Amino acid sequence: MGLASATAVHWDRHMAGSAERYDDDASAVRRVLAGDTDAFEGIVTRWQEPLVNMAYRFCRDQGEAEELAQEAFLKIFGGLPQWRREGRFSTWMFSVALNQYRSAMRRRLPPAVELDGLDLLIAGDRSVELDSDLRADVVRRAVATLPPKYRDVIVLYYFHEMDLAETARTSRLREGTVKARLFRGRKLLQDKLAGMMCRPSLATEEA
Amino acid sequence: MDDLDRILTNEPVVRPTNGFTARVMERVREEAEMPPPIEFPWARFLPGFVTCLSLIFATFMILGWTGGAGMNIDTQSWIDAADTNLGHAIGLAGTAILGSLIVAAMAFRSIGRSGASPTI
Repeated sequence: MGLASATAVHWDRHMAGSAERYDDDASAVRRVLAGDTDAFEGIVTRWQEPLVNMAYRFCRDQGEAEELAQEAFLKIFGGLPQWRREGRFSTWMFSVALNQYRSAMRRRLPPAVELDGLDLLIAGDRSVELDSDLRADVVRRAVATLPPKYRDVIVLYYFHEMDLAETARTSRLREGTVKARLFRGRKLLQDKLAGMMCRPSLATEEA
Repeated sequence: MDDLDRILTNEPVVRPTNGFTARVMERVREEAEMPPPIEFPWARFLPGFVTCLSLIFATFMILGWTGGAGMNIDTQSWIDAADTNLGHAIGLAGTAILGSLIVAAMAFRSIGRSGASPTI
């Protein structure tokens, strides 16, 4: 599995979310719309990592994440004429990808998330000892088990490194709605993981 | 920042496998080469649809003029009503035939305009 040891990055910042990048994307879009399909390769190269990572947070499987990202790129390619240039390309692109991932997750029933230790925790078996990596993995997988409207906001919020405004723009919701869903989603998550999250060892190990 | 924030913010980064860009571009090129989807032929559909609606409306109007006999599910009384309103029955049949002819004529005209020849 291609998981790097590095921690998460702010995709917009990491991907050099600068005027140059915007120009690159805008120029590539112009060329694609003029009939130069190969110009889309620049967009795929620049944005493949964020899109695959965003998909991974929904499905927790790298192979599936790549399939989802591929479909998202196809949707983005087909939807380029709909991109209104007053908005950032990345925001529009993430928004298209989000819709694609949501639809795919809706079709995927029951969720193929392996819960491992989470099943035991939910069942109330607090004696299960999980190391910090496994606990972190259980928490991330637990997000995928939340009702979609909370799951989507939580995934996006942390994907954008807790940037509320960007989360709202990508999900096309008002910031107030995002805040409310975050609050409720986090509450549901904390209830699910109550036995684990209060362990002091988690805070010290993760710090 | 609490534990939940810390864990969810520090997600490991997934690196796309080698060849991902090439696979995506292959699909994109396939997509680009596909002919655009055929649009729904509203210009041909709407006249026929409006004609059908008009015929249905006309039918109900004519049946209404027979004093509601046409709406009666009792077949014998409907036949009796039709028998006593022979003129209306003939009018109804004539309207239906005329409507069918109009729809057929429009269909043939549309086929002729598009250059397609009907095959059996």
